[in-house]
Amino acid sequence: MSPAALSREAVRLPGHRQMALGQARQRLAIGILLFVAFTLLLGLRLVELALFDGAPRRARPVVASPEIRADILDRNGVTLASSFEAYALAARPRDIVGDREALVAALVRILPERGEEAIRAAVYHDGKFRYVTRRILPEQAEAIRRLGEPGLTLEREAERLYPHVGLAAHLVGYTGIDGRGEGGIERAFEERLTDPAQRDTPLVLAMDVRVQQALESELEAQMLAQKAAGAAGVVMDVHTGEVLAMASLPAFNANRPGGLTGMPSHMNRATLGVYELGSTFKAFTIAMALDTGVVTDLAERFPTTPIAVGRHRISDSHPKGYPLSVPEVLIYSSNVGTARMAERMGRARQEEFLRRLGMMGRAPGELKESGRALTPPANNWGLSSVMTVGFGHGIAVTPLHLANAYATLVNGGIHREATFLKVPPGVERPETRVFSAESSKLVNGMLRLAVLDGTGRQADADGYRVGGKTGTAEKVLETGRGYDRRRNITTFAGAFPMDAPRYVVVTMVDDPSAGLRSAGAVAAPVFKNVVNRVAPVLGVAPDTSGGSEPDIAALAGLYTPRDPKRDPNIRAGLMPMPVAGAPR
Amino acid sequence: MNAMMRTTVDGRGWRADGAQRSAGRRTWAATAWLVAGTIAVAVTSYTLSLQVASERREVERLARQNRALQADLKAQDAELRVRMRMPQLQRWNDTVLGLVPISATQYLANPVQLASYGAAPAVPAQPRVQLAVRDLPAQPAPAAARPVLVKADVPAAPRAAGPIARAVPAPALERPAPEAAPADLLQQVEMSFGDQPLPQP
Repeated sequence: MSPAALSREAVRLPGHRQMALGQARQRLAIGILLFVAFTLLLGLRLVELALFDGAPRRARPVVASPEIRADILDRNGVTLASSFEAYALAARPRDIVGDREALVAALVRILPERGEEAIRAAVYHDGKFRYVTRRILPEQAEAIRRLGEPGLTLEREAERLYPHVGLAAHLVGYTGIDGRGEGGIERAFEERLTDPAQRDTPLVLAMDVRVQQALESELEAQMLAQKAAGAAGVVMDVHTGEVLAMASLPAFNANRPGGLTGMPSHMNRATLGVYELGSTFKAFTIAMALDTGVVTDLAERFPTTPIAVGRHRISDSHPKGYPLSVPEVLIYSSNVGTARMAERMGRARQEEFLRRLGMMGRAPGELKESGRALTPPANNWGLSSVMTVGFGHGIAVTPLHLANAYATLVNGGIHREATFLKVPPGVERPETRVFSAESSKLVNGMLRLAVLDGTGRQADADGYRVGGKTGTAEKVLETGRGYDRRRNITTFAGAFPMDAPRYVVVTMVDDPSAGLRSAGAVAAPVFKNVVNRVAPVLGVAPDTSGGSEPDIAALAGLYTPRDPKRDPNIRAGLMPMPVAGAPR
Repeated sequence: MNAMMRTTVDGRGWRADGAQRSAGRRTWAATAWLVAGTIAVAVTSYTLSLQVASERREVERLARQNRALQADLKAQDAELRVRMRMPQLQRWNDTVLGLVPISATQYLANPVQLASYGAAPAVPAQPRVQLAVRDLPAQPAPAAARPVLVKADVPAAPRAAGPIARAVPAPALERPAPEAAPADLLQQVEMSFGDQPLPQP
């Protein structure tokens, strides 16, 4: 022991023991206090967790659901597409224990629709993983799970069901094997339909299944009767631009689309296929001529003698042999008359009008399958193009383009782009004025007369004051140069009721090959049947008394009524009753 | 607490023998109480926690069941919709029902036109089943019951008015023939409802 240590040991101050004891006591008290405080803290936290923190949050929801897409409804709430839980069955052949033959037999028993060969191929497959089948029912999945085979995998996936099968298959679209939208609305609204925030809110379309069914069945009946290659049709609300029905035939089963998307049945003829729609354009040309003021007098007569422009020779297909007034040009579908009007108007104004009508770009609407209109090339839009475009040749558009432009023409001249989604009441859509209200009214009267006295007589649905225009165009040869005189595209574009137009209907039959092949005999009857079926559904009241006919007093005396008893002007006393056998 | 610490640290409690024994007992009892208390709290807490867990499991089970029922409902709904799909309805109509859209001439312009469709057929056209009437045994009873209804008020008014209106109510009065049976009366009432030939004073 060192002296220093000894000295330290030796020094004992009085009160030293008391001091040490006091210090120890103090430390102990602090320790106890800390311990009590900690326990109290834990207790408080427990109370807080138990009483005030609510239900425990989980990383995963209690009930797992596969990636389900939002439903698609029509404007009245009828389901067009909805998703269900289903399973995909896959085999991992290397993990299979037990007898493979017995497994194949058991699977064939559970999945009779799959076929033994396919199941056998998957079970004996030399690889890690192979699907046996996709989209099987939950009951079948449960039965397979009960087999207890570790080499089989069940994956949850969503199945998309289209209750109306092939109805509006092109419009609604379909989903591929991986559940992604591959056509129509399903493709155009992929993000909206799969967005987790909006998955529970269905997407409401402007379409009405009743109208769609009427349009499709009438088109199909005519397509079969005429042995046609295809057909298309559009029904549109002229004031909102909503597409109430859009059909493209032949169609396919949306539940089992199968095949490649390039198949003829998968092509949407109403929005993707562009066609020269012929004389239906004459109504636009007349409206443009009236609007620009190049034609001011409706009584002005246009000669019908054929004209030669460049390499083309323009003549009438139903030559009348005498000069025609402006309404007669439309009623008798005079190519020469409209070509003369287009000539006066010139390229710049024609192009501008077509652009404002939406005829120069892609088909309107939200679908991604939208065809671009084929117009004369900018460097070759000369006089001959101006004249041919005037009567609908040399320009190819989709039926939806045409329907949208007709809606613009008849609704008073205001263009609203077509939409496939329901427009809530009270919502104003963006609009641009294309024609003046007066021109629109005059052309409406002429369209009515074209049905009463002209080429569209077979479209006259009794009582519904139909107005419209036929269009017969020859198909372009497969080589792309020249036209095939024996193959036609027949179209009828019209609206009803003409006194206050509400709906536009466009019907198109591609290459009818049985019987007459003119639009008046092929497309116009379809139009009439469609109007007869959809007008009661859409709440358009018929009037057979003739009291609701459009006001066409401005056209009085400028045309020859075919059926004087039904002519609105003669009934109103604005025109004299023609004497039978009187020369013109 | 300070007092307790002082006792333990000072060692004053360990001095006396009797006091020492009682102090030991007290310590032992305190420990026993502590252990018992801890066990009691633990058991209670555990039971509570168990109860909460089981409750939560039940809720989850209900949620799962709810989900399954919803899926079931959706499936049933879809089946119904597929069965009544538009193309199928059209096929039925084409092959079986043969309904056609209403034609424009079938619409009526005004309520008067509609009312003209409601005209009752002429009375003689109705067959009168007299046999059943004769077989009825209680003939006087209905005869007595009927006049109460008709004669009580109708003839009174013309008589009070004087001889001018005397001829007017006669046809109305004669309509319920005295020999008519209750069944016949019912038929007459039904028929007369259309063109309103009921006695109207």
